Amino acid sequence: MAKWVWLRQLGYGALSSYQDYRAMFTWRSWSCGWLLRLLCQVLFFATLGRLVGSAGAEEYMAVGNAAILAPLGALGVVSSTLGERRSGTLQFLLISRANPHLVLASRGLHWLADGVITATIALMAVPALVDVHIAFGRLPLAFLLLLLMASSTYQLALSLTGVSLRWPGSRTYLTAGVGILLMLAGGVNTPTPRSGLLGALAHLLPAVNAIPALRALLGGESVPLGGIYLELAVAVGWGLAAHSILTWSLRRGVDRGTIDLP
Amino acid sequence: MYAYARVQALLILRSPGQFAILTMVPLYSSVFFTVLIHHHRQSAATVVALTAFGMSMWAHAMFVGAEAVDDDRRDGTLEHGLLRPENYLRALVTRVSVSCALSLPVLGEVIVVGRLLFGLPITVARPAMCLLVIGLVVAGTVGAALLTSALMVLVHAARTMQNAMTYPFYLLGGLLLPASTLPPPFDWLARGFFLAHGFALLRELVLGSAPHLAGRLILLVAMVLAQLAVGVAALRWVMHSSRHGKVSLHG
Repeated sequence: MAKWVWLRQLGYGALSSYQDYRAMFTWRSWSCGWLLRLLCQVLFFATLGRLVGSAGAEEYMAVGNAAILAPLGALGVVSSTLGERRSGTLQFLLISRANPHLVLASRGLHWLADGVITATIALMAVPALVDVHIAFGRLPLAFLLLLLMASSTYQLALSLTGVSLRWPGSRTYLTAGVGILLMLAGGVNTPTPRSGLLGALAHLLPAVNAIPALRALLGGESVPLGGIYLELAVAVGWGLAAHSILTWSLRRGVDRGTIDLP
Repeated sequence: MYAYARVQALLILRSPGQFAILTMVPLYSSVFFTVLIHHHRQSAATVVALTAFGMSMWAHAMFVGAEAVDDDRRDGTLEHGLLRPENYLRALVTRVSVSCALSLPVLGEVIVVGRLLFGLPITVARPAMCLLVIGLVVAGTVGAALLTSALMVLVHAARTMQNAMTYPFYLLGGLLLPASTLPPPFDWLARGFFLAHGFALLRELVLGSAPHLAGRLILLVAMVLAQLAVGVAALRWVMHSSRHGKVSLHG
């Protein structure tokens, strides 16, 4: 029984995370504010594709920017965890006997869910926004791929959280930096670079390896499984990194008595 | 006024997050420049540089307008401000203006990144006139930020609102493609929006040809003044309502 305690802790974390999300949005503010904004974001980048005028650019950018909403959404956990520190609730979370990685991961699950749901809706809306064909029958599988992309980014985001809890001023730079790297080298607007530092770095980033698989899936082509396995490996890698960095950062904060300083 | 400006300058200097706009913009613009180079559309570099600047300016203004009120609410100084609403209004206008002015050097930064790092042919045909239009557009954006501040006093959801007020306005403001390419009724809506008018003019000016310049400049000035007046009036009304207990400050 005791070995399943972590599952119960995860459940309670997810429940409080859901309540946080409900406090943040109403149905009206979510659909007319947040979702509308994200759809406009997809449309904006698709417009960039129209501006460059190359064949297929608009469709490529529309699908890429709809898909990237899942990983970008997951990055929100950095800001909300830092908010816990500012509002003085972080220290109470750390009283839990569960591992801090599990506690903080469960507390921000609404970001992950939001990213996956909004990306799925955006992918469904893409054919209405630009002239692109999407194999709708494959959307359930696409949903699973988006979940994988968001989960691996979520682990990267938790690693960034560890750094931000130590140096709170770095939060904006870290999340914006990762967001830009994903947009730049993640195969969102242009194919992932194959050479150079950016090319090497890109494959360590979450979501990057899964995006080609997602494009193939939605295009009705055969899915390259290698990319999905690589994405799984990246997710595990960032999970281990998040575990180490969060443990180090929080232990240091507790030792120095700085855990609840704003 | 000097004291308010000084306070805001100190706040900016002491919070590194406020500088994010200046450090992040070159990276954002590199996303656009990479797309242009990939598709061999270097000729669109000047327009895209303007887009990157416009996005930064608008996003920063929304951030400043929302955060100024949210910070005051959290620190408990919003109530104190309501004791002297006119003074608080002046303070807020000055603080928002000082912060929004930070976005002015961003265009230069984007041009330097495009030309030096990406080797793109970014040229500004009529720099003096462009600067004038940019100044006007930034002033109008201050008005929009004040409107956001007013809404913030009413709805208390800084992050959500600030985030929602970016991309829809980039499209409506025609930052990438002229707002006239928008489908109806959005193209009609854009005609009354200072940002769409300012960016259409700016796009033509950097490329060298802007017919009926005097008339369009006068129209832009009128639109910017109207936006500023709407922002200040909304803020004044909201503070008046809060002072008389018609608006709850803490939900």
